[in-house]
This record gives sequence, structure tokens and C-alpha cells, in this order.
Amino acid sequence: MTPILRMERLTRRFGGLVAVQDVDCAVAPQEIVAIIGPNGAGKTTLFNLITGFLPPTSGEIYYREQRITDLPASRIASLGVIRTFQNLVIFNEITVAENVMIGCHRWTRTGLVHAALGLPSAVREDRRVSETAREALAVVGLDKREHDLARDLPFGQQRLLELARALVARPAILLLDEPTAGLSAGEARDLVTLIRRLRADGGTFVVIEHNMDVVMEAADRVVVLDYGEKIAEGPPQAIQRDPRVIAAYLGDEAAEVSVGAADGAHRGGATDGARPGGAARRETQAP
Amino acid sequence: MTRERVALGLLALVIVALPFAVSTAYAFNVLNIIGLYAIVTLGLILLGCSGQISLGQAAFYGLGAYASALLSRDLGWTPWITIPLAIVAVGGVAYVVGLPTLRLAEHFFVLATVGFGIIVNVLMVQLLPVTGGGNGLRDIPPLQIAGVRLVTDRQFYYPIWALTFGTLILARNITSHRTGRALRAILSSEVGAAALGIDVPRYKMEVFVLSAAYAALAGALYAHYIRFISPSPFSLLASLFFLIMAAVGGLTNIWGGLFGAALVTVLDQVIRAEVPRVFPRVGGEYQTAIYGVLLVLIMIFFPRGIVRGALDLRRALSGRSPATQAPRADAEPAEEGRA
Repeated sequence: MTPILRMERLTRRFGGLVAVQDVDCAVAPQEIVAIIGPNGAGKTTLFNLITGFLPPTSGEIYYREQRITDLPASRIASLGVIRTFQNLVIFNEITVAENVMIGCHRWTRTGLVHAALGLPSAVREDRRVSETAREALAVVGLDKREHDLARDLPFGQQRLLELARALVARPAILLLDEPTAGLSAGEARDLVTLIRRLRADGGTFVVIEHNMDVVMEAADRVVVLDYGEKIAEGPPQAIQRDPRVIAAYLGDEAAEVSVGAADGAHRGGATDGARPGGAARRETQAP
Repeated sequence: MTRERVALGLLALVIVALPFAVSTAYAFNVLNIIGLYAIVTLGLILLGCSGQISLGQAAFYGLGAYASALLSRDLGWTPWITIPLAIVAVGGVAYVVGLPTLRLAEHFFVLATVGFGIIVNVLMVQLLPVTGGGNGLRDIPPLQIAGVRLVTDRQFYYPIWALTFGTLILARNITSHRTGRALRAILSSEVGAAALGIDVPRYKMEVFVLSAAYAALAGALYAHYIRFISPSPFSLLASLFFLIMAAVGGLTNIWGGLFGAALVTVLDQVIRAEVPRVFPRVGGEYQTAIYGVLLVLIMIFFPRGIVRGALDLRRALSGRSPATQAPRADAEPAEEGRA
């Protein structure tokens, strides 16, 4: 089966620092792939490369075997590669319902002229969009708050809002960047159930996740990144026992004790400050 | 939605009824100018919906006026043809101007529009054979409806306000469907918009061209209404003037555009009449100073426009914090366009 998403020797450098290095990876339709790795391992950078928010230094990205390496972000999203953000990108000043309605942009068609004239097609489409939004809000349990301004939601609910907004875009593949951060244990479990249900309906997911319970429960396959490189890949149970993975996490804890020496050796001399979020990157809990 | 329909109905009634309440040519003149400025301001507000500000709107306004005036006067075409032609031509100019400038970050885009406005104004003064230079263009043909030449202020009232009303409806519709949602997304976060497949540069271009088209329509109407044009009403000062109207209205609020145009035009009339009376020896520059200060004050104290600002202020005075009030979006009239 042709992969829905494929990366070929994908590399991104920031000055002397290699954030993502020679990553090869393919995602099959209806697969749930988890990407794990210590903070600063290049997971979010990988998402930024796939979705066109950062140009790769070298390497290629294919969506259904169509090369999307140099396409603008909006073009990649309109093909069906939809993402959420680790730090949340919410349209703060508008209502929860309208946030989700904007998610329908990809498959709606009303243009400037139709809208300006208020043609029946525009009105019909609006009705469909607002119904879709309401359904999606019900799915994530935010239907009671549809009239509130998005900025007034607590963090966890904003994350669910972002998820609902991504879902109504009808993504061919959905990239979730730490979707359970800020959620309660119950909400996280609900999220896993939802993802598995959507996969059964034909959805494909790539999930950056720190919560290993979620990873073990949801993922078909786990990709482990460390210092930008893919160090392991396989089913969750195997990954949990993989000595390289254990070393990457435990090695990091050792590195915390003697930061300077270990870091310098490990990365071949790249300076710590050049690494995005360098200072905070070892705070992640080991699995 | 329905409440906005009522507001539109009321506005239509007021527009139809006003001529029965006023009689002087001066009053009609002020009303007509308000209508024209409201069209320009609505364009600026559409642009504002995408998070952009233009200080070159008077150039588009002037280009529309010169284009329609020249086409109708020198080629003998009816203004009913030359006005749409002028709008399309100015839209094309805006597209060409937008190609390089819309890539610029916000404040650099504003600077680029200032530069464009100055260039156009200089051309109006210097291209003597075409524009007549500082002496301007005379004998611009008037509009004709059913064989009647529209030459008085009163005759022009309905055509102008019909178009003002029409452009208001268009702007309202644009901001209340898919395009409007895309614009609000862009205004809030360009990254978030792009992540959902919204082509940010395309939408910015669309509203920029549209705002120029609005200005061109008003300019062309102005030319056939006043029937004499010269470069001075299309200077940077006029652009500032339009921006103040939009800022008074609240930059992203369609209804505010109408309000801003009316308030600032009336204020301008008062200033013109009163300042020379109080300070007999001041030159014309005082206007610039007054508008500059006004713009700064609005931006500091009422960044969301005077109407919204007043609402916020009332809430603050009544002891409830705006933050706890904000969620009730339907309590704010300006939110209606988003329904």
C-alpha cells in the first residue's frame, strides 16, 4: 500500500545545530504512529518540516507520493495534512464555535463574490459548517461553551478546541503535537478512545506524545528520535525494551548530572545555547 | 443576524427619509461627502479585517476619480461605463502594488502605502498633459439617469447613498461567510490560519484589491459629482483622514465605518468653520496636527473604535471587568456581523 506520508533523509540544520538528521519514515493509511524522544529531540521540528512551516535543509517529503517538500504551509494543509500545535494556536478573540468553523475552510468553497452577494449557496454552506462545528464540539465535550470567546477557555479545553478544529478539517492525516498535555487522566483516556475510533473510520495519525500510557495504548508503531536522529522504530512493546531507547532516556538523566561534558560529546561539539529550548529540554519525565 | 437585518432596515429608512428632513444644499453636500467617505472607510475596514492598515487609500480614491473623469471627458463615454472601468483599473493597480508590498511585515506595509500615496499624488501634480497639474481637471461630465443630468447636491444624494448602502451590504456579507472567517483567522494568527489551509497571501491580496476598488468607486463618483478635480483632495492628509474614520469606527467593524465617516466628516466641517474664527492667523497645517493628535488618542484610548471603546468604558465604570463580560458575545452589537 502506498504510504500516506513519507520522509526521505529529512534534515534540518539551525546554524551549527542539526535539529533533524536524515530521518526516513513512512506512515501507512489508518496507522497511528507515535513519535517520542526527550525534549529537544527534534519532534516538533519534524512536524514543522512536514507541514511546511519550516523548509528542510535537505531531504524530501511526499504526501501520497506527491512531493510536498517546498509547498507553502497552507497548500500542504489544504491537501489534507493537518496539525495541532504544542503551544496551542487558538483564535483567541472569536468564539469557540467560530474557531471550529474556520477549521472547515479546507473543504468549503464559498469565495469572495459568492459571499459578497450573499448567494443561497453561501448561506447553505454556512449552515453545514456550523452544524459540523457543533457536532465536533459535542465530540470533544465543548458544546456547552460554543458561544464563549476562545481565550476564556482553560488550557485543557483550548487543547480540545484545537483538536475539534483540526478534526472538522477532515484531515487525511492528522499530526497531533502533545495532544494530552494539559488534559486530565480521564480526558486523556477519552482522547485515546477517540483517536482509535477515528482510525477505525479511516483516519491516520502521527502523535508526538510524552505520556507513555497513551503511547502504549494508542500507537501501532513508535518512532524514537534523539538529537534529531531516528534511533529506533517498532511496535510499542518492543520499543519499551529497546536498549537504545532506554539508553537515550537514561543517558539524558546521566547528562543532567554532568551537563557540559556529556552534551558536548554527544552532539559533536554543538553549543547548548544554539539548541531551541536548550535549557529546558531535559525536564521530560523518562518513560 | 436578525438584529442586524433590523439595523439595515432602519438604515435604509433613514437614508430614504433624510432628504425630507434637510433642505439646504450645504447639508446635502455634507451628507453626500459622508456617503462617499463611508465607502472608502468600508474598504479600509475590510482591509483591517485582515490585520492590515493602509495610508495610501487617498491615492486609490484619486486614481478612481482621475480615471473616470478622463475617460468620460476625453473619450465621451458615459460615466456609467467609465466608473466600473475606473474601479477595475484601480483594482489592477492595487494588485500590482500589492505583489511586492503585501509580503512586508505590518508596519513596513503601511510605509509602502504611504510611499505609493505620495508617488501618485506627485504624478497628479506633475503629469500636466494628462492631469492638468495643480489646476486640475474641469468640465467633467455629470451622471445622467433617464435623461436627467444630476447636477445638484440634492440630486446626487440618492445615487451616492444607494451605493454606500450597497457597499455596506457587500462588506457585511463578505465578513459573515467563509471569507470573513478566514480573515478573522488571519487577523488572530497567520500561523493558525495557514495550518488550516487558508491561503494567507491570497486573502490579503483579495481584501487589498477590494479596498482599492471601494476607494476607486467613491473617487469616481466624487469626480462626476463635484465635476472638478485637482490633486489636493487626494494627498497624504486625505489618506490619514480616511484612516482616522476607520480607526474611529474600530478598524474591523463594518458598522463602525459608517459611524466613523459621519463623525469625522462632521468634525472636519466644524474644525474648518471654527478654527479660523478662534485663531484667525493659523495656516492650513493645523488640520494635519489635529488629525494626527486625534489618531494617536484613538489608538491609545480606543484601539477598538469609539463605539466599542465607549461600551468597554461603561462596563468598567459600572464596576464589572470587561474580561468577565467579554464572553457574552451577543451582547455586543459589533459581534453581530460575525454571526
